[in-house]
Amino acid sequence: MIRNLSSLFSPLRFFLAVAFAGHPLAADELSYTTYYFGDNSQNSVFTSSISISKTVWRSTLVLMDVELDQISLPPILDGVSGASRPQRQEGQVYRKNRGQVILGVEQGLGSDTRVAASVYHSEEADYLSRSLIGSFTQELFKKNTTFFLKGQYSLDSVGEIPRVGNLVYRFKEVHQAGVALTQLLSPVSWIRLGYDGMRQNGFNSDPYRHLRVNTAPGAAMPIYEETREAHPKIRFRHAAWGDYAYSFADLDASVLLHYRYYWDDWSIDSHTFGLRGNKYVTPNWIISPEYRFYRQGAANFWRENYSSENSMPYLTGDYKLRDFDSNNAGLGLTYLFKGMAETRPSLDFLLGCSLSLKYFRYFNTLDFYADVIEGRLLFNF
Amino acid sequence: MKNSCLSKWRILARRFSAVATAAGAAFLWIQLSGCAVVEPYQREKLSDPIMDSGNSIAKQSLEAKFFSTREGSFGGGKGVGGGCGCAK
Amino acid sequence: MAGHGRAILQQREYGGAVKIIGIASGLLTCLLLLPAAISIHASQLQPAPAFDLPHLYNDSLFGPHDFKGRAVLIDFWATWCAPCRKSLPELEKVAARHSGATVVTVNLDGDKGKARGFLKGKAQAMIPLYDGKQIAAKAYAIEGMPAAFLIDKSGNLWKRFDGYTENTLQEMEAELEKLMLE
Repeated sequence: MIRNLSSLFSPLRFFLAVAFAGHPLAADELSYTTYYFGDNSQNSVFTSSISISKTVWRSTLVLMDVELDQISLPPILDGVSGASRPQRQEGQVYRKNRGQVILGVEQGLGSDTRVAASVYHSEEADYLSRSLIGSFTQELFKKNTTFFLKGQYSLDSVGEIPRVGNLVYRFKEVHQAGVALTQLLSPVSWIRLGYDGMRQNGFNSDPYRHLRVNTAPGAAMPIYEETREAHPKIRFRHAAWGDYAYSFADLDASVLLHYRYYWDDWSIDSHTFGLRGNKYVTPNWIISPEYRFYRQGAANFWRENYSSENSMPYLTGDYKLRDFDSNNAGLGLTYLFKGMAETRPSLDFLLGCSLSLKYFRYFNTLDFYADVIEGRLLFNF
Repeated sequence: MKNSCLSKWRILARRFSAVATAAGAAFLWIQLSGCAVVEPYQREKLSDPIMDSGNSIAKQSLEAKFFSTREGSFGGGKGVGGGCGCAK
Repeated sequence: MAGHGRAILQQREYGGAVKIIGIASGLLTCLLLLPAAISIHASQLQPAPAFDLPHLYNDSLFGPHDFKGRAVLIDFWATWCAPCRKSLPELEKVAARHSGATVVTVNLDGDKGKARGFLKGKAQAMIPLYDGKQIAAKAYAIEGMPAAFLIDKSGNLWKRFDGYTENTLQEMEAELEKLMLE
């Protein structure tokens, strides 16, 4: 069973940029986020990120985000592994850095319409990603309904550091569109429905991932041949989802529910259920337990073992394309500085500021588990 | 080959139209079911940080990255609105 | 008529340039001017809706009728509204600069204590009122937060402002000065 992380950061880099396209640019905000990830295969990631958004003139807002990742993978112990790392350094701990910059601008057109555009660039030793992102937001019916549309074009250069020789690049183009509609249901509840679609065209495999094909099926002793994975060039992906939030005003608490149905033309489909509670334990402290359940089916070309008997055009060593369930349970704690600001006029600037910490454990039915710690300091100015 | 390709498209189209119909029906239901308009001054609870879906304690994008690099799916949970509705 | 003919001629001669300038200026208007154009002029002057609201710090009641003969600016706000929090210190400065006018702030928080905490030391020149049941907010048909209304010396609604930007504040102050001179 291939249970190593296929790649910590190489595929689908554009999700970051997508997240930003969908992120409502809060006015005049500065945040620092740090994130630590460690799993039971000794992979680790340490991330630091700084974001700033500032109104520069009337309703024009600019955004900049800089993020740095330090990634560390353990030495490969056997010759065949799902780990994504150059084979050149397979006998030692592999470390690499990744940098990312997002620059964006948002323009308000009247009080109910906003358009935003941003560019995204991410770079590391063997991966380059560039994106153009646009979004449109329209408030309707006295801001009771919000329509949100986003589009994105990405071009990824998927690099491979070979055993000998120079870096080899392969390419992947991604077109993406998303739409979301948010409706206030009452002074204490809202619902949001959305659809995201994506078309990937190009090199959809991992250049380092190899798998074994039994070339002597039926023989007493199987004979394995190492080969690269081969995924279809095109992938159409879809996600339909809904969020619901309800505030228990008397309890100073809220509950947020999430459901997503995903399907693609590789025959994968999945269901995601999410549940989060938030509760003020004091006027300045919020405690937020959360739980997420995920279940997915396998891609039509995924096999536990490949053999030359039934030769297939596509082979994969990616565990993300097989069927599995995962669970994610976490606990967050947020401190709002407003209490401090209200009692001391000299600390007025802390009014919209907060410090958040969160821990969660992710585990799936493939014997994989990971611990994640996140911290965020947010200033509104 | 052509037929299987065609049927694949048909399945996709059917799934897409089912989702679009469901979303449209839900929207119409919300609009027509007599949902009271929430006035701007009634949004104290809606604007509270505990009602913000983006308030997943840390940056949403990091979580999106976490799940998308470990699971075969993508998307969901991004959108705006539902909060203060304040005019800046 | 002759003038009309000349206009058509000029339009033909410079049609292309006019179109380009027209499109460009239209786009510019959309991008630059619309965000600032958030005030709506009352087409017909109507009496400002009446209310009797308690002072934020005591039980005395106030309403527009108490300020007849003065130019009045009423600002509806709440602590949970970020632009409202930004606007209040600026409104206090406006009130301090124009002692001949009255600036009234109407708080809409569910909990009076939050407004008191926020306004501590910030409302010296303004009159802070409290509308926990949102009666005045309804009467003034607020369409965005914050919302401000200018009332002339005769007690008529003169202009409304939805939202807050530096531009809104400048426009508000200019209109207030105009009303004071009337």
